[in-house]
Amino acid sequence: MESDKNQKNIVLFVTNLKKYFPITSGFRNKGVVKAVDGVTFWVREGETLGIVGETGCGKTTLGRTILRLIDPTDGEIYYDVPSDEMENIIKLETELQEKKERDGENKNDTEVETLLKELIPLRKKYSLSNKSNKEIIQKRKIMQPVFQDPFSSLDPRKLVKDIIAEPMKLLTDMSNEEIEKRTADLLSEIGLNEDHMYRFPHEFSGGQRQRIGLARAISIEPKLLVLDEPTSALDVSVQAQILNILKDVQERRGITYLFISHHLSVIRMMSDRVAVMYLGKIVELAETDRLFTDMLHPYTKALLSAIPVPDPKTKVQRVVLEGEIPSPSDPPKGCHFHPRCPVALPVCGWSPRDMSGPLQTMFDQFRNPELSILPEVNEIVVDEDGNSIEIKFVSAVKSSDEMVNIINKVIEKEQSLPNGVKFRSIKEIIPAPTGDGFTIKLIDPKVPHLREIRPGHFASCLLYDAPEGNTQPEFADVGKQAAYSR
Amino acid sequence: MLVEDKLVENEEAVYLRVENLSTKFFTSKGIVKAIDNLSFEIRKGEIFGLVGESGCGKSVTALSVMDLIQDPPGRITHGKIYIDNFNIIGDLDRLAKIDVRSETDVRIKRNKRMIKRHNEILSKIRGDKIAMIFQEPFLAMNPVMRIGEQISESILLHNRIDIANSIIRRENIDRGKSDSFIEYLETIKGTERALKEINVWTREYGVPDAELKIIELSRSALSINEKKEKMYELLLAEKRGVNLQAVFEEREYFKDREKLLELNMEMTGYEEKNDEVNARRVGEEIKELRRGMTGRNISFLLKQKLMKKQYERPFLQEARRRTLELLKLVNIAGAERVIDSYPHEMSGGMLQRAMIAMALASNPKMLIADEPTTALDVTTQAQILELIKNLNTVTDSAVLFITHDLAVIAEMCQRVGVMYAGNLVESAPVEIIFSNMKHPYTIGLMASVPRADKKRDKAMKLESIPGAVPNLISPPTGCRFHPRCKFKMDICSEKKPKLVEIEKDHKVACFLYSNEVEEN
Repeated sequence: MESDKNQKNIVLFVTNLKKYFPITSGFRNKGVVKAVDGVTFWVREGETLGIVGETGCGKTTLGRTILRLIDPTDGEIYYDVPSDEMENIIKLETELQEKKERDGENKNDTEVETLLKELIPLRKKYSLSNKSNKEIIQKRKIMQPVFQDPFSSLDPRKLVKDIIAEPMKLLTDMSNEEIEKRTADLLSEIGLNEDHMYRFPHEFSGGQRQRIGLARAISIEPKLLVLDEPTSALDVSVQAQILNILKDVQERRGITYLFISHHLSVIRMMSDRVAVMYLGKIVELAETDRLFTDMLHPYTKALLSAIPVPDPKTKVQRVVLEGEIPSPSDPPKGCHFHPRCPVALPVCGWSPRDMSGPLQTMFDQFRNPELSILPEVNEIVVDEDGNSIEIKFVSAVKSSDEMVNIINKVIEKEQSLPNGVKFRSIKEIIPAPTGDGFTIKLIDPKVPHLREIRPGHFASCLLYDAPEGNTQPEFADVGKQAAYSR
Repeated sequence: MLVEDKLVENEEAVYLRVENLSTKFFTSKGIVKAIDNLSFEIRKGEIFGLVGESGCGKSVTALSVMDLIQDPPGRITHGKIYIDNFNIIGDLDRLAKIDVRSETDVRIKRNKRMIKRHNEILSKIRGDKIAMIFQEPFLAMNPVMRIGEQISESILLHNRIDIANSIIRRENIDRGKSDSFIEYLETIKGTERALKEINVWTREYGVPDAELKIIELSRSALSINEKKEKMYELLLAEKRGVNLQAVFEEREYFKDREKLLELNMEMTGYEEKNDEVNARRVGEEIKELRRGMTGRNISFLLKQKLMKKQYERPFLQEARRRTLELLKLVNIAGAERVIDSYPHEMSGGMLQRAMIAMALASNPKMLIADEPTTALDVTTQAQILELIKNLNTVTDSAVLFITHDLAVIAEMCQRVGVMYAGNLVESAPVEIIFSNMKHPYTIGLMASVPRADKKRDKAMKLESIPGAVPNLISPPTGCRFHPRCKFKMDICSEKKPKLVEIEKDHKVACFLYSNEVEEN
């Protein structure tokens, strides 16, 4: 891990955090939406960690889970831990997770057990995920949220002074006079004045309301602010004002920010380090400038190249992704990004359901006239558990073994076409015993894990995983290949 | 038939011209002067961007250009909007008389007969000449109608005659036509042009499903006579056994209605110029047409009601086919599935594509895109922007692109107008707006945009414009930007600056650059 001793203490460490929402209909459980699925990161004192991703990637759920506004399904949140203990915890947790990643979830492993023996008391003592609601309220003194929508996050029936005073009344034992004085100070700090104390929220514009929300959050001197899209409901000129105030407040008070936004330009301006999320997982985490100029993950590359640049002279070489974000209730196997990835590898997680469509096209006799000796395809049966696909024809196939050779040749041809990488995940073709079809076996997919590829730069991608391989493509090719596949 | 106007006669390239447009909303709290004396123009095939913060009148401009302002409370109170040289908002004084007694007491006397005629004309222009892509695809779509139905609806509204013609041609294909086409194909066999000709011919004769088969046939090694036989068989298979009489009747009915609309448009034009003689003559023509139509129509409408299958089905089939073609044009994956799905089954990006398909249904020469990507993610936004750009080059239609995102403007537009509080404060080609902006508001707006392409500096602060967009019930006097302006002078709060051309194609409304005052 990072060895630099000059760096400030880690104040927040989140490990393997998961939040699954059950999908129920009536009494039946229809599965889960994996909103946050194994997220690990830490934040140092006084720094801003930006969390960026598209709609539905789980960034808001992550923020709310860290604040314990919703309870996590699994994983630990360490916050406000003495620094030497924190170092120990990080060491142990990282070791544990690496073991699990390497060996799979094997409960009987003795090494894991010894680690857990050491960890469990620490978890009980410090982790927020095990704390009761009463204890959490005490922790809220030092962690506060700022919400996205300034219109729904302020009580319309309360005066501004009461809105700002609420956390102080609930969480501190300040006297009423002290609270009043502090409210006035806070208002002037965020660019409003004392006259505004006796007004209602509806009398304010969006920008002013967001200032009030910020004043409420900093009123009890928290150490950590979770800012969930604080400016996305505002206009650019007002957004600039709010961002400046946020910077001022951080400078003056040394608060740590967890800055959640889908707006990449804002993220670049505000954050020291940035984590990119995709379908509940962090795919890349690095220092801001490093991430924006020298990104590793193909998704980051596509996301960043999609930002329009406010300068008509700059022409961006764009990686336009195909398709849409898959549903988090049923994410793709392996690397979640592989179906849209322009540089996917055969092991990235091609599963039978990914392949059924392409195979159908492959057996189309207009596309591949070589296969016209075969009877018509009757059915394609997907076997997710067996990682194989059965192809059934309307009638029996003559000389199956010979056909396997022909099919293999066609597959070879498909592999060389753009987007043909999925065909390279085919392991072997076995003629069915009934004689009217084939079983196509796929290679087992690998799951990428977030690992440190360069100092301080984490990415979760198999391109950088293969130690033996010279097979990884030069990263500059990503753009070229994407344009090609379009 | 469109009315010629002297003003625009010599500028053929202009497709949309907005002149001194003012739109107001009469509310119980006072009159909202949402748009005040706005003028701009859009040339054919150009993408014109309109940028500004919320509440500056961008969307009201878009709705005004379509004349879709909801009345009450809103009305266009002044100005002219020429689309293809026809003033679409008509003679405002004739449509309604507005009597302003005080800010909160306004009486509007509407001429119902005139407004009805005006709306009939507009329903033709909207969709045919100008179409709109809305901001929130989820709100703009009807949640209980399938995507295909919604797009077909627009096709059936605007293209009835065209559909009828292609059905009639398809059903009337005979040996002679098919043979002569095969002979013609034989002469240009194997060239690019042959493919194009087949494409055009199949669409003209309403048999696009046979296109692939005809291509295959033309490439095959059969002799010409065999080809002729096969071709004729193919075409016979395409015929649907439609009751042609019904299609003829339907075509006649819609031709009558078209004619009526054209006459109405002509009359409005004459009335606007106070040309009593011609207006009366056209009025007589309209009366005569109506008299003739009544008899024909009653029998047709009755039959259409009673024999719905025979009358409606061929049109629905053809509309569905065209819908599918449109969905493919906007690159929707799995168009065959999407056509039968409901809006809630689709993602925002897909729905936005479907909406673009709907806007393209009758091939308008201009699209209004009102924040088409604001509700979408960056990667989806990139896809949609690319699509709009491609359509702009393929169909050569002009686009009025409205957004608050300067970066999107830089990407998309050729010319840009910057709006503030209902006024156009600056307009110029996109390179000039970004490199040599003049108006203090434009300068402030540019400086307050965080940049993703610039190196991060921890201590860096954005420059921001102090204050907020004013309330337009009582906007600031003089230049509406002066309370927030860094370069405020005495004159700014007294007089309103005029939009003046300071260099070629670059207009600014600011006293820093010109002393001209806008007259009321």
